[in-house]
Amino acid sequence: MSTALELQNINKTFGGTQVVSDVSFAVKAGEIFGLLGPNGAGKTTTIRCILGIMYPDSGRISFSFGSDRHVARSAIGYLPEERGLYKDVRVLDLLLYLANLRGYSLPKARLRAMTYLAKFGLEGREKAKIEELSKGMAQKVQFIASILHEPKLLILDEPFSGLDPVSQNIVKQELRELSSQGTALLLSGHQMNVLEELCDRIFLMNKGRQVLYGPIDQIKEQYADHKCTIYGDNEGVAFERLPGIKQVTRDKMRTTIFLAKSVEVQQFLHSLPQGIDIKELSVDRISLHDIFVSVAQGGVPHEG
Amino acid sequence: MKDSLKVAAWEISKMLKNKSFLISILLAPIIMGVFSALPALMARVEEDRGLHLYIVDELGIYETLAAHAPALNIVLERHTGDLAALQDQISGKPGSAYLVLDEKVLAERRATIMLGGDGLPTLTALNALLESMLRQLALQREGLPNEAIISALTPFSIDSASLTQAGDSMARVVPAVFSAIILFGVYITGMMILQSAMAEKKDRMAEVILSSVSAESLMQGKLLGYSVLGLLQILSWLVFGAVVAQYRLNIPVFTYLWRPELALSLFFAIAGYFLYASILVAIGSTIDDLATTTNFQSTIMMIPILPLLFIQPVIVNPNGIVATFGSYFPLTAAGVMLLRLGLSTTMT
Repeated sequence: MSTALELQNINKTFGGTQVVSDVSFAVKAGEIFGLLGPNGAGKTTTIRCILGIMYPDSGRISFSFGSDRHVARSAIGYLPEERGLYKDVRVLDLLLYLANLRGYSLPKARLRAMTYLAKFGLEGREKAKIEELSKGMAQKVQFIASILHEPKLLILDEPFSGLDPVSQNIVKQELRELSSQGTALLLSGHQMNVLEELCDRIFLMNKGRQVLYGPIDQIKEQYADHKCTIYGDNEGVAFERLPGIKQVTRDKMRTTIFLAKSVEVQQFLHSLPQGIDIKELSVDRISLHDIFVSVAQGGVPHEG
Repeated sequence: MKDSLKVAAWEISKMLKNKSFLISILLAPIIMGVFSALPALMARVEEDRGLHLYIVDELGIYETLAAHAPALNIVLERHTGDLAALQDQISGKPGSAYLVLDEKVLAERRATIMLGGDGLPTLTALNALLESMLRQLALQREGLPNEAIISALTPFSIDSASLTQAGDSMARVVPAVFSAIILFGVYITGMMILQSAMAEKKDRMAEVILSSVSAESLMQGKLLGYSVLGLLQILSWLVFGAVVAQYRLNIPVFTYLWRPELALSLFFAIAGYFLYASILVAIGSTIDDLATTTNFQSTIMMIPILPLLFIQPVIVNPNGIVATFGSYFPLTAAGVMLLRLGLSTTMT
């Protein structure tokens, strides 16, 4: 896969505060890339630098589809976290205007707009004013606007927030389809379960700096140990005394046992005391969500 | 520039689909027409009711006065009876009045029309007629011959004319006034530009738009778009005004308008608009809502009225130091140059 976007040593300072520090990553054509981090990590500033809304103090941003800023703009689709649309204009007019600004052919844009509106359950609403739509509908329109001009790089900030589960599935499906067609996708957000499900690689940042960067499986392999969740009445059971246990958390009937890296899952299962109450039992790796929380609390070491 | 034109086209099409904008285009000339015609119409209704004026004439001028009365919309009636009875008769009647013309009037050079009720009817023409007749009578009493009296009562007219401004001054004034109205009108539409600059932030569209076009293209597009909208609005009003001036007031506006001076005047009007609009767009892009606009209210209002400070000195000397300074100072250049174009043919 060729590199669609590359950031090299990006730095940005606001009023003496370094909000992005030496950030470097690349997004390949056809991959879904996650830009993650807690609030204030510097994700939005990084995205704004990519989009040319603001300029980095130092570093280099390059696109495979042209170094000219105008060309780059027309090949990028963007869905910002702060959702909004002109209120008093018609859906189709707005979609065509935004496609036109990106230099996309209007007849083609009209055709695609009608297809996508139908796909997202907005058939027949093309002449409705934005103010007449529900919040969820308006978000769908904004999503359509970001992909209508067939971007080579699609940047989505919190793409699933505010969408109902059905719409989330449609968006997920659409993103996978775009990815399979060679569009480079950069997703930013906090809904770790969804991003974990979609992303091929991630860049996790905190306080403007890189924390983790690489394929999601490798990161989970490297940083995510196993955890065992038991659902049952085990209030008096001292799981903490078992060998290789890092931490035990209890929430009513649910007990989560975090295993040390050295512990084999099978060995742990054999070590469970006889007679404990097991209504449900699952063993899995720590999720991206857990890693994220750990990062936010400064728990994961910086990668070289 | 291509992006600017796209933004401009969008702003124009958005506003032309906006009902309130269309209504304002149509409504403004109607309101202006109503407000300019209605007071005169209503005053005429009151005037048409006329005044019943009783004259107590001891000077012998009633007949002459009565001959002019119909033209003044006054009903004259000579009163020869008791003055107190007349006072009782007209007291409380707004349409009635009496005037005593006696030797005391000539001696004191003062006559008073006593009105029967409240209100001040328009008596300018009657007053002028009476003043002339009384002056004539006084001169006759002095023994002057009629020719001398007529000569003495004929007024002189004092005018001034410029050696450098030969020809019809209207040919210079009309294009300058036309352009000044455009400039002023576009200033009025300035708030639309301000609000439009805020719209992207208010509607949370700023990031999407700025990821598509540069900030420069966005602002240029707005300036272009709103200049077209402003001109469209003002021109529609001006066409209405020019038609009224041409056919109702008999001022040959169209004859005077299509002169070379118009091009120069329009240049200053449009350049002035772009300067003002750029400032408003810059202000609009720094604020989020209309409430914050109040902080900039004085700045916004001050800019268009700045040229007014130069009116008096420029009229006195259109090529003087103040006029020259006002022409070079960007915020006043458009207004001052329009004024100078209307006043001077030898600009230095």
